[in-house]
Amino acid sequence: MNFEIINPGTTKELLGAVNKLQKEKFRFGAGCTDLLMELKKKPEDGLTIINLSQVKDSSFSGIKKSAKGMRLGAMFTAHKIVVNEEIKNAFNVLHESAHNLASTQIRQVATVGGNLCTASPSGDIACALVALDATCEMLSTTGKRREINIKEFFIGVRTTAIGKNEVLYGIAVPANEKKTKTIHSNFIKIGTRRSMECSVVSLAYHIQVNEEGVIIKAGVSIGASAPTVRFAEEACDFLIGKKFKAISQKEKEEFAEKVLSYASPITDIRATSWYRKEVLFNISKSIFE
Amino acid sequence: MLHVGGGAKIYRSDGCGTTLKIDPYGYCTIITGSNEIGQGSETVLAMMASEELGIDLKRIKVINTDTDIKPWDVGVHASRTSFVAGNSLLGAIKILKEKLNKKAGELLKTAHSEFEYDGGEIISNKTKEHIALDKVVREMHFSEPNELAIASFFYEPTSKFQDKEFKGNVSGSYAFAAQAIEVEVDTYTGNVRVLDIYVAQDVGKVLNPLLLGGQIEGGILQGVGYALTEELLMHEGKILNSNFHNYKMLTAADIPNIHFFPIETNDKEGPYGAKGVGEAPLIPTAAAIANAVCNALDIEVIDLPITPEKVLRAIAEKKKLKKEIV
Amino acid sequence: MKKEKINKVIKHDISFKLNGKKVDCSIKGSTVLLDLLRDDLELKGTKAGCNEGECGACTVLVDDAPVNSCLYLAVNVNGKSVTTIEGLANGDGELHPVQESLVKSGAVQCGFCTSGMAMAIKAMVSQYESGQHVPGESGNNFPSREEIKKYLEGNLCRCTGYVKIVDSAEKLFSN
Repeated sequence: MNFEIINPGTTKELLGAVNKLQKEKFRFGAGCTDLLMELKKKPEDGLTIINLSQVKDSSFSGIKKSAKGMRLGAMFTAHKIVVNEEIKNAFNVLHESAHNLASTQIRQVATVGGNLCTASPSGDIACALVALDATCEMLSTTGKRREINIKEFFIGVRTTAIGKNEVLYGIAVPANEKKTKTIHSNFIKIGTRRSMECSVVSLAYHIQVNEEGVIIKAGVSIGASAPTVRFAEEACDFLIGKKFKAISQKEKEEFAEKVLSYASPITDIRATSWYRKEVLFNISKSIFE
Repeated sequence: MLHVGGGAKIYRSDGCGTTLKIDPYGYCTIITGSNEIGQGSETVLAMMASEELGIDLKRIKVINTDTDIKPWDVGVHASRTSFVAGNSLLGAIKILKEKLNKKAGELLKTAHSEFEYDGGEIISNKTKEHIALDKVVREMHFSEPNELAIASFFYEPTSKFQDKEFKGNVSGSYAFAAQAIEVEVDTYTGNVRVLDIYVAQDVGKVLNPLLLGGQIEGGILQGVGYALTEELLMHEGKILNSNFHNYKMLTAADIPNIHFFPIETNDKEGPYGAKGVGEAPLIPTAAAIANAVCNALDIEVIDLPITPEKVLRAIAEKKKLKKEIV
Repeated sequence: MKKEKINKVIKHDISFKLNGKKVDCSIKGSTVLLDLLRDDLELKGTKAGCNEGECGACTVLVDDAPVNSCLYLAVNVNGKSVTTIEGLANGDGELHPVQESLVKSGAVQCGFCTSGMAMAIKAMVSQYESGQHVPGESGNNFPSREEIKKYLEGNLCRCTGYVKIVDSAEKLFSN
């Protein structure tokens, strides 16, 4: 493993470095856990790493709450998500996804931005943020800010909508609806062990219910089941207007079928496509059980 | 379950050598053929020497890593170390004590040869007269017939190498164990969660309860891994999961409640009645877990490891079969 | 004549606190903390296990956070404080309470995971003490047995079955 490294200390220096390297081979290093593992196995010649972890900018590494919701800097770590009580209360799906990510040690350094930009189909935090209908905010070397919905962020396996002259700057999660009384929010991660897993299948859901028990907003997404994390839009639409506690067996199955229609899983050494589909159907039903 | 409990003839010999030395300051060095790989043999061997020679544990050193000097041994496996290396050490101690007793008798001017070793002293059983152990060693060196306080012993268990039909009294000692395991199976995902493991094992005479517990717990978790997650995947001679990412050893988060009920017995061949304990706990675990899964689901799982996918497939096949019958 | 390409290795100067003492060194950008500690600074107590963040044997503390030093860029310790197993006890011959508890609980067998385990347990103690822990689970500043097991998920051990290691951590919190 051999590469050069640039250590910008400010956002301005960071954009300057990106601009300077436009014609070169470069990659960003955030928590570097995935990146170093990959480079140890497959070293790349002539690679420069732009090290993001020394950039001092609270918009890049901190958390900010507003009436509109919550904004996480791209360098906000999984550990910081896990220990944040407000996140646990308002967006449990995000808390659970971070808490079940890799290990204690990895979570200290792994970042939200890293989990998104790696664009792994089994990205845990990514899956939760898709269910939460988050917005990705990019900064470009020209100084322009660009926002896109996270559903448009993932293009394919390990490819995203970020331009070569852009940096993922932050992620905004919209506040829960004012009329929301109860939130059913969780992240179901399936693996063989209880810990240290890369999801074989994952399901993130964030379902908001009003005082009458009626579902007013629903976000459901699936991981490790398609080339990218996917938002199960039809399944979400199907739930709107229904009473959460009165969903029938038939409706549960219809919902699970709709979730499954977004899945096109592969067979690999961790599980077969058959298993992934079967489990996805079952855990989709289990939301209401 | 019946398993070997020390002195199993996997090779033509299951022997172990020991060289024992006491220096003129009363420090004892045990040079044993047996390795320490974490099972605690260093502690147990030092405890035995301390018990026999009355030397404080802090004055006993166990050398087990230097192949330039250590005597021959078969290796650490098959629950053999305490049993075989222990017996080998006791053999060496016996020889050394004969030398020490003789010199102590001379110095204490007593004709009888019954001595006790305690607190660094050699004490006459009859007269209760005593003399410092280190002094006796110095006298062995300095006075005629000038000899070393050293003894070597090779212990070979009485067991026999198995015959052509793989039969025979192959082990010096045998371990008996039973495990009862409760599992929870998630029929949505096929995940098996082991909740409680009850272990009853004939452990011979317990030499060190803490180390015994460590051996049992470690063995059991390996057994759980063997049952549920650990599998070396091969394709055309190549290992597909040669890393801890895909070769799934269990983590601390996976440990079940282990309830251990040692059955203390006296093994007539073992040192102080002890027998080997390390390997037995991992043998019945997978079978018990598989039985528990079968019992929970009324399906048969005979292929290890019992992965979530195999469980879910078995459930699906059972459903299909039911439909066909109806 | 063909020009030979000259690869100039760029070195980075870093300065950090290692087990309480200031260290200055010059390293390649691609050096990971584990290699810096073991090979350059000759602190062999930190173990290289899997080298890919799966086993936790290389766990060290960077500003009190437990990290896998095999996946941590050495340039990023610049200005920070690093604690390794060598720095756990304060050097007066006494063991650190974490080490003491491991020994007394019989939690050490072959010892390969022990450095990393000790550092992870140390981190757990300080994170719980400073409120940097999962909110609301036990409602206390000390973890439940289940939380201890979860915290130690990133440290593999082949020998012990973890029971006595978890015991040793539990004892630290109950005192």
